[in-house]
Amino acid sequence: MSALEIAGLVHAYGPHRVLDNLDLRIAPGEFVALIGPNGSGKTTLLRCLAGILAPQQGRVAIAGIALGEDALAAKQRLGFAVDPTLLPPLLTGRQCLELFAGARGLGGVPAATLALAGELAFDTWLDREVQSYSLGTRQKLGILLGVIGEPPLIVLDEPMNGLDPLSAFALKQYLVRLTRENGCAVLLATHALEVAERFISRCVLLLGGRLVQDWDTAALDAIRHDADNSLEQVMVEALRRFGAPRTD
Amino acid sequence: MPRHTAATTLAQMPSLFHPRLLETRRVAGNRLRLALRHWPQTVFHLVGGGVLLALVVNGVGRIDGDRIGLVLRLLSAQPLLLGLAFAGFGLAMVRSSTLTLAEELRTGWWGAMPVPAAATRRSLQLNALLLTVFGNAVVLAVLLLVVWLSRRSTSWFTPVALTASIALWLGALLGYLGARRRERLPPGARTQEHSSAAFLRLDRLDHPQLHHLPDWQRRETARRWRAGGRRWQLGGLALLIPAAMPAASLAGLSLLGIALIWYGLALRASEDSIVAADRLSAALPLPFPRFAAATLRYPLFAWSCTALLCVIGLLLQSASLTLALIVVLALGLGSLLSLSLTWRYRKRPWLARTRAVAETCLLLLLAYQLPPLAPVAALGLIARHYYVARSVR
Repeated sequence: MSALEIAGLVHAYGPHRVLDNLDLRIAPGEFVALIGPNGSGKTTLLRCLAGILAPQQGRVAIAGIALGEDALAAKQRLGFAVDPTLLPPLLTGRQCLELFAGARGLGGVPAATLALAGELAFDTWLDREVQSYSLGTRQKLGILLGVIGEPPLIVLDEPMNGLDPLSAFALKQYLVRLTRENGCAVLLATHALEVAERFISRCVLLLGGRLVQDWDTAALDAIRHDADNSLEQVMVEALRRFGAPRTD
Repeated sequence: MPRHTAATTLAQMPSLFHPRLLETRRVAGNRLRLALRHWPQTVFHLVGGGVLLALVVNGVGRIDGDRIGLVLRLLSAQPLLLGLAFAGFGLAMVRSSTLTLAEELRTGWWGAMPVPAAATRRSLQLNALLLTVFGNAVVLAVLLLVVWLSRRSTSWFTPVALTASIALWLGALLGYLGARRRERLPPGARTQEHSSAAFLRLDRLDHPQLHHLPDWQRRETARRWRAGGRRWQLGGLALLIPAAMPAASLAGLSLLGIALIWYGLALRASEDSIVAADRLSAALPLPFPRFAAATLRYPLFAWSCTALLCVIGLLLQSASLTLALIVVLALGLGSLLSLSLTWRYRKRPWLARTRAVAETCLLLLLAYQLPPLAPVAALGLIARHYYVARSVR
């Protein structure tokens, strides 16, 4: 059973079709990077599969459960990092975590989440109000809220934004451990290609609302072993091949 | 050692309501703790609030309750009109609140969480119920106040209170059902937001990193207006217009009323956009004076349009040009005071609104007692808020 299965997904803002008949399947234990230029539909895709946006067409199934048919059961199998700008300013980090743990039916904030908070150097901020957090600290809380309970599918949108190098490294290590040891699948939208290249097991390129390129583990290994090549380079070549608009 | 007590309580609770309710409770607790921690400021606000309350009570005591009672007696003879007005009030209040809360639950930080649809529905119903109870209580309290101030017969009270209450509840029910129906529409069928180039170029107020802000304020205003944000006020205005009124006065009153209702909505939408823009640009090195200037661009345009319409409306009402200009300048000063409070309390917008109401009441009292001092005091307050806002991080 796939951790995530998307078939024929369509979403449009007015006349502008952002996702155009998109298909994607992610197996348990896969660490997938979703890359693409600005405006290619990465965030829209993630919001559609989190149930925040309702797609016009298509099917999203999380761990075999269709989001459109049983949203509650599907969302129980999904972890989605909270946008730092949406965090409630007057709650403390611990209160946010407790509320989310309660909503997931957990007996408390799991030890693994608190351990990750320690690795991200967030534990000193747990009992302070969100309004006193910096952007990076809010980002850490958003990530912790997304991984709480370690559900079968974890979705993160640009999680490295604003993180200091130590925290970014700890997060990458944690996500790798989660996929390898717990069998969770991780879908990570990112522009940080050097991050994606080192840690992921698969990479997909989104362009014009469709997935135009899919690099599997073997293809990524080949890129890693070629000293004259990099994911950045192959992505640029792919974008040129598929006619992405130039930003310069 | 992790503290699991609170979360254990949460997990044991049946999911009767959306966890957003627990969030509200926690926020209220934190707010209280914050007020206790900053006790000198809290004491200052309490003393200020007490003084204001004393002034209001003193002012209310001078109101001639019999005059209002007479109006209410006349209204009790028109139960359909009265009912329509209160139904409109109930409908707008509950519809707007339900739509806002539903959107927050769908797209806010709870958006991706597994919350049963029934729990969300029950929470929206509870919100509508509490709001209606509160609205009804306010209406009854105002009517009872008029009874208290009246020296003559208050036989109008029972029919007016009954009609108003029944209509308010019916309107609230319709508002809730309408909001739920709108929520179920596909996203494309909801109000569309369009952006366009600025109507007027005001380069001194523009900031390269904030050039979208005026457009954001404009779109937010348009969205709220189209969503019927002030429909109940327009309904109230229609009811206020007497049947036998000269055409020029009627046109003037309508123009004045609609312009002011729209401007109130535009100012509120602009202030909410300022708070959101400040949150989003928290990481940008923006100098405050440039930020403040950029936030003024759209409200200034909205005030110019409203001022023109108000002057025409007042002239049609046979007011002198001097009076019309004084009114629009006072409106401008009031708006600037409200905006300066938004700058100052951009991290705590609820406080900005509370203080805006309090300071406006004080300025109105001052304008009533010592008219020449009111604009000086208003400018002083604006300068003070701007000065404090510069150091807010």
